[in-house]
Amino acid sequence: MDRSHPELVERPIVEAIELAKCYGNGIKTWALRGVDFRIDPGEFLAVVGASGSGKSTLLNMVGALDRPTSGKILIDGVDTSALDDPALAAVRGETIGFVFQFHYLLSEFTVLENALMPQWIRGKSVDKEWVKSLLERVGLGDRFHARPNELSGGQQQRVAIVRALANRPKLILADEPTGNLDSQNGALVFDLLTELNEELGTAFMLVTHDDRLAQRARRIVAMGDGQIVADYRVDQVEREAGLVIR
Amino acid sequence: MRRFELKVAWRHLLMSHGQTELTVGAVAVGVLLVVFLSSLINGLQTGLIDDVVGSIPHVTVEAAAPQAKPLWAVDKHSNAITAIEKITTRRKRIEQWERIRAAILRMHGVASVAPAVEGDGLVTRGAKTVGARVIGVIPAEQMRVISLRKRIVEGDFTAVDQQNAAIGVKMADDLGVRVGNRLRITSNQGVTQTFRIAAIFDLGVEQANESSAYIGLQAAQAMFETGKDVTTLNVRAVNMYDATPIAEQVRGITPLTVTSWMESNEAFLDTLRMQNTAAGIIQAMTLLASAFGVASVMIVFVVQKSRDIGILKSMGATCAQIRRVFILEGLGVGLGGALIGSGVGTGLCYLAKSLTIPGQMFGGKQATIVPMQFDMTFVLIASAVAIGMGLASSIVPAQRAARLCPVEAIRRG
Repeated sequence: MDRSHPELVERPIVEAIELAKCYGNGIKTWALRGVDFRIDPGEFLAVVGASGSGKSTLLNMVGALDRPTSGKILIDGVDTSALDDPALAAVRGETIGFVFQFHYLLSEFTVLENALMPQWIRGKSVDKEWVKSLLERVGLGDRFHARPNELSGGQQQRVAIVRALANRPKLILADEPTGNLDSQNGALVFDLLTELNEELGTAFMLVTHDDRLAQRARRIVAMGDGQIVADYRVDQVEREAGLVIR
Repeated sequence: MRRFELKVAWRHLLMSHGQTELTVGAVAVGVLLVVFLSSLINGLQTGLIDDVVGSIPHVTVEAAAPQAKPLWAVDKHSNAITAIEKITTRRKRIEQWERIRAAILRMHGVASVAPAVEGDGLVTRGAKTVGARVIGVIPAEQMRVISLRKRIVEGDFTAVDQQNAAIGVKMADDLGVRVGNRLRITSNQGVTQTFRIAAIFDLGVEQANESSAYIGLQAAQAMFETGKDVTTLNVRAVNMYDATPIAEQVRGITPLTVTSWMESNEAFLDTLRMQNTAAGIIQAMTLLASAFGVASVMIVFVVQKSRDIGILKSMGATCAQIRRVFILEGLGVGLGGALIGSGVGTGLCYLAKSLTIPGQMFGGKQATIVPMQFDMTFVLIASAVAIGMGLASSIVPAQRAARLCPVEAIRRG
């Protein structure tokens, strides 16, 4: 065990073994070709790579939104290949939060209701105060009852982030979370993600095109042609020096 | 049901940009039509049946008339083919009618049995004479067999006895008589007696109004020389549609001629049945059209909402939860449509019922433009069907929504 990384002692949140995914019936396209991969609690990692390199497919597998063609994936120690739809949905609801490129807030509901939605779905006790405190934390304390279309792009994405955190998940999966924002708002949202990572200890897996943002992550996973081509940790010095990804 | 499904379904219905109004409207129109059409058909048929059956007994028991038989049927060795046996003028009578009456009264479904002596005669007032069917009855018993009470235009039918008679409105008009006037009745046995007019009735049937004269039973027995016997037993069934089975039972205990109103009005009943079938088909088609309308709007709605569905699934919503959301929406549409449709339909029924034709009377009542007869059963049935329909039409859309793959739904939206 590597003593310099105490988090490695803990059970990984996600562990993928020989993960492969094939799309199409006639012409088969392998989006993932045998990926071994793990995410440990509290990590902040960025997945980078060209379009079609398998980043989003990996994110969908890790998020239990899709099932692998072969190989297996353990989420919080549970082999998801053995789970039926309700059990898989429960894993998504309790362990994972999603943030997408677009906010995808439900237009019929207010900011607070949107942020409470994962708790309603889970159907257990609703912790409204937690969600309210998160909204206040991201600077939306005065917009609880606003409709999503009354907010700016940055505000909408911040609501989406709070929504992803509503069930206190262990891992947030963010697919191009700043892709639809201007660079200033994008940087603000990214800062917020890193702050929440440190404050709450929630692990973040970020899929991004933006190398400048990616190099601010503590771990970078580079993908190419359905495989992980590089996976390395960036130390504090490197991050601050702003070294370009190899 | 969890609050998540209820909240999402309710919010979808509230903020659907007109889709809810459209689907609820489609269901409401279906329900409205069913309630209105049922009330109309019911009103029409009740009126018709009342006119046809109200003034006749449900089952009539008569002495069998001697059958005229050709001679060759009587004597097979006869070569005569033109001679027909002469019918004697023997009158038909039911002897020991009290026993038969008691036996019929004991039968299941029989409400009452009234004896009558019927025969042909002439009714004379001054120089005017009209042919008549003279019917001798015990008024109180006859009134239990046919609904006479509301058909009395003037006078008191219960006063009919040896000296008092009741005649139809048309006959009264023809003879120019009113209640209190006197007239003479001559039977085909040649017996004449004077009666005072105690009541004038309107049976709703032209022939009966023109040629029926009621007198007391004993008076008729004397005039038609039947002694203590009667010619007819009139039976009323508790449920008028039991008339034929009751007639069958009566045939089993007596060789007399037994006729139910249903047998003698077969064509009329067929017409009613056809009317019911036609109305049923129209109603079913309307509801089916509404159901298709609701289903198609909901399918479009699911397509519109597919990204939301994907997002909800990414947040942990199960297929079953998504299915329940859309089934609840269908249920909501059905409920809303049922409430509005039955409310408006009931209102329209009462409105139509209150539309009278000024100065026009019909069957002793104020005549209405449409003969509505509203029944709460129609509302309950139509509403139940509408709610079931809402549910049924949401099954396919709900299934589609539940099956959406979250990745695809989010990517394509």
